[in-house]
Amino acid sequence: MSAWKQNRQLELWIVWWSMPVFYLIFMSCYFVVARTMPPPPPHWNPAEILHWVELRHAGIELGYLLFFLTIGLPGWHIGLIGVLLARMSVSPAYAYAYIGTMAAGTLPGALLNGFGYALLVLRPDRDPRALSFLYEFANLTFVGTMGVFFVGSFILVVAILLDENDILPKWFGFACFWNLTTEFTVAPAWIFQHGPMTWTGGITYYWNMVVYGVWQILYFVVFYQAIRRIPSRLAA
Amino acid sequence: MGTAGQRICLWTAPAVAVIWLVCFFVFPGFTAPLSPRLPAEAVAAFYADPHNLARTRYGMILFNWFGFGFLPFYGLITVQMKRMAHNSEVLAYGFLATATSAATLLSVTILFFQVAAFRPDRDPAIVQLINDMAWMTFTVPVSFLMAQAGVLALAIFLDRQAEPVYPRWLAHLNVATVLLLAPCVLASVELDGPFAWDGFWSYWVRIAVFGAWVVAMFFAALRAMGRSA
Repeated sequence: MSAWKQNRQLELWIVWWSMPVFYLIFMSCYFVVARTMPPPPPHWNPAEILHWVELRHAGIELGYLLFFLTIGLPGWHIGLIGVLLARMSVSPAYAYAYIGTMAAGTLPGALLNGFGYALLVLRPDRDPRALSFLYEFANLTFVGTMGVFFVGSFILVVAILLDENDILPKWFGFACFWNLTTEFTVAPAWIFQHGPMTWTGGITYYWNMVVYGVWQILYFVVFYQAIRRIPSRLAA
Repeated sequence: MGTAGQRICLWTAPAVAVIWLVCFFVFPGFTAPLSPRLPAEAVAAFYADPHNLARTRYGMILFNWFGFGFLPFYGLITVQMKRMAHNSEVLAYGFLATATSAATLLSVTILFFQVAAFRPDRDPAIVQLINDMAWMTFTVPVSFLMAQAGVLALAIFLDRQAEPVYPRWLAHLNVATVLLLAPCVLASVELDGPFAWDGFWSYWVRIAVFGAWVVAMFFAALRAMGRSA
């Protein structure tokens, strides 16, 4: 057998490395290539939406191509978190609940935004009412997907705080709780069209992105440390 | 030979495959996929045509029932992956998560087709929008199948035992699946040509690749079950 295959936890390391790679591509698609983030305002009329979309036409096409190519990878990351949860003292139920919940999360949380923008640029000459719908569909679903991540975070919080095997640090459990609270602060995006509580507002969008961004970086670090401590199943 | 429960999971796969094949021939939009170039009026006329309408409604009701039909088979593959000599279950769990996401996408596609056929006298611009959403959801998110086949390929390559659960050639087949599916994402930007959602690659090659993958996985799972206690 090749020496590299003997590496303890090789599978987990491959999956771990796919995380920073994926999130770098994911964030670049939105903020650099497509420039659909930060989101434009909800009160625009179809002519304003169309003008804004046409300025970014090629960027949105390329950005979302990369997005569509890689968006399956978080499924691997769910597997990694599932392994960590299964090793905690709480119950394997938390691992299975997390895998089930988060496997459903990519569709409302990211893909619907991708479909909305891809359909906007694919047929910019479509009926203005349909154009407005796609624009709102893309932005509202991205910012306003709450329940799936609420449950995902809840599972992490309870499992980490109750765990006696110290798989993940307790402070990360509190960080997950902090992240969970943003699932409530984004809710006004479903109601307001002006001000700080719209889908692009300071309270809803920007605060959420700050908390999520910090949490995401902590996530890479604590998982890296956790993998180093996990014994191999093969050694048993 | 596996437990009775495992054998049921295995044999649901060919049964579901036959039902999917029936759906393929019943819905006229599958045997002759609708071009993204069709004007809104033509798309609305497709659904309003009484012959197409009945076949769309009944074909999609059947497809809706069995859209998640491969999940028991995927559950069996997950169990077989857990028998592989790996350091942890990460790849098996990753397979289950990606397979679930891929099935969810298909079920959403079916719902869009059904909504389009529910009220075919709707404003053509709205019928076109719903039809666009169906084809976009059906064609573009191949990344889940790619991640599903990719994690399986990795698992087979890293199965460190004298008699691996699946043969090595199946890992290569899964890598080929990933590579062949990747160009289908171009359906999000192309209205014509082989990569449009009705194109040779994004439609016919994608379906053929998935079909070949299911057949190969069925026989691999059958063989692996035969060798387990």
